[in-house]
Amino acid sequence: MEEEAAVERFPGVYAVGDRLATRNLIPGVRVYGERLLAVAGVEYRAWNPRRSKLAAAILSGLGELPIREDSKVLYLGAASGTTASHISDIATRGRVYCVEFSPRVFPSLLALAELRHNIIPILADARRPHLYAPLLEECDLVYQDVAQPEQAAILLENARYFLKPGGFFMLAVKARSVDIAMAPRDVYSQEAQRLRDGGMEIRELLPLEPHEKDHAMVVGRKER
Amino acid sequence: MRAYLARNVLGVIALGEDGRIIDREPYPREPGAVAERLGQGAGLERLEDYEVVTEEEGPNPAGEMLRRDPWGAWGVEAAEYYRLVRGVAVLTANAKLGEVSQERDRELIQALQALQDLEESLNLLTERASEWQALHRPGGADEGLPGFVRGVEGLSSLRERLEGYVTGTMEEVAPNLAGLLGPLLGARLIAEAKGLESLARMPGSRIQVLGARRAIFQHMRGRQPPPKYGIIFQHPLIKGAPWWQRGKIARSLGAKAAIAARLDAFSGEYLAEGLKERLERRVEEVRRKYPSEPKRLRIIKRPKVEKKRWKRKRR
Ligand SMILES: C[S@@+](CC[C@H](N)C(=O)[O-])C[C@H]1O[C@@H](n2cnc3c(N)ncnc32)[C@H](O)[C@@H]1O
Repeated sequence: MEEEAAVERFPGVYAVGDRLATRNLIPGVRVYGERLLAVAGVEYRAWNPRRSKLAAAILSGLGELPIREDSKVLYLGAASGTTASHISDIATRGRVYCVEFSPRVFPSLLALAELRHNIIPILADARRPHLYAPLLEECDLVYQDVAQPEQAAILLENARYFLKPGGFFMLAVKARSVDIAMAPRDVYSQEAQRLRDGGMEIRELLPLEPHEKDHAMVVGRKER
Repeated sequence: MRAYLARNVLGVIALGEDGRIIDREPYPREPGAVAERLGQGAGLERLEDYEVVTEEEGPNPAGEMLRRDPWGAWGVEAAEYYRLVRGVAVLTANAKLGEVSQERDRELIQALQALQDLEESLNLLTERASEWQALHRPGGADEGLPGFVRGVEGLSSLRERLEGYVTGTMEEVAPNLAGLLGPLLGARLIAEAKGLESLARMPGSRIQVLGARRAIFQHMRGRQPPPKYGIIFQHPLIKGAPWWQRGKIARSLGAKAAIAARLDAFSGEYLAEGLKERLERRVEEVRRKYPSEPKRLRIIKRPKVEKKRWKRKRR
């Protein structure tokens, strides 16, 4: 394999050649068919912006990535764990609480958690946080990608239970699942306003074109 | 006075309005026991005089305390705490997944039985229609026969839709069984076993004779040789084979069906094409090795001991 340099873009997030990548927590094991890259004896997993909105956000010029090695992350709408697996590569000494309510995709998440001990798979509805509260601890980041019309309300409710004061949130907004008739830009600012009204500070509003059509990432913090 | 109640995998805790702990109860440090406790109400006996506030209405100070320091209050190490959290999360999820798949199985079985009922009725009704047709004089006000025929046609299109539903559900629930046996035969096996999981726990030899209830009883009474096949006889590769090859093909099909059921119930991987290929190769082999009817018929004696035992029980 040709040797390339791995340049750290954010803590735990690297550029290897023209690819985004994270250091593989479980060397030799792929999660969703991604490429494995070896640089100076270290294995990285290529992070595909077409499969993961968080990768798309980083490549679209995200200003800050609020995930550290020891971060506690609540991930709402984890699906089969594509993005969650990269977060688990970054927060190696932290925890990624993955909430997903679809019984169809959940077995993949269970399989992922079997190898990755920082992933805690929670089969539950993100609209009913009190039902999984006994499994949670206070978190540094709430990451949400549920593609639901009431996404702002879901985020606020979960932040109320689980986000520590001053903690961050990242919300992937899918314009079409909020309002098909509205222009995407208007949807994004409407959702941002709802979050502000709920006591959140908005720090970035990042459209994800061309990686994801009609999607944006909203990043912000809970007031202290 | 209010008491704020909250819990995590280590136990349940109650805080007074002044933020001090009023009561607490640790849970056993075993995921199964914890999952069970979390599935029940959170009651604490000493709180009878209080107005108890749980986290159902929103986060409360007790929950906040537990989430800020989940293990500190219980004198437990972080590693032990996280072992329990993971264990409980996985157990609860698996239990829920089991329930969901059981519900889906039950619905599939109902739809299949409705389909079979409909087929039986359609046979009767079509027969009746053609009998009626034979002595029907056209002309005049046609209230009788044409209306009846329209009704039968309506039922027949309902049958098609129901078959589409069963096929679609099978492709989702048990794609390997559907691929290997065809969706309807696959569904009949699931129905006969009363669920995909119980089918997946059966050995191939059992699946092979599934649905041959009468033949099995006759065998047990010592009146017949053991049955070679049950409802998998419906499979074209068995039905279309000469009688002396059927048992061997049925054995192979039963074994492959067992693998398919296990894939569908426990792994989700789709390998039906490979299974089908192996089955077809085995059929070829059987055809080559046993091309013609065997000359000597084995005479099977009634197993006498078994018969005696049977009679004794009946007395
Ligand atoms: C767009 S996908 C997420 C993809 C994933 N974030 C990734 O990048 O790997 C949205 C997921 O949210 C889940 N979801 C939607 N509503 C939910 C809810 N109320 N509670 C939990 N999960 C939900 C869906 O089942 C689906 O798997």
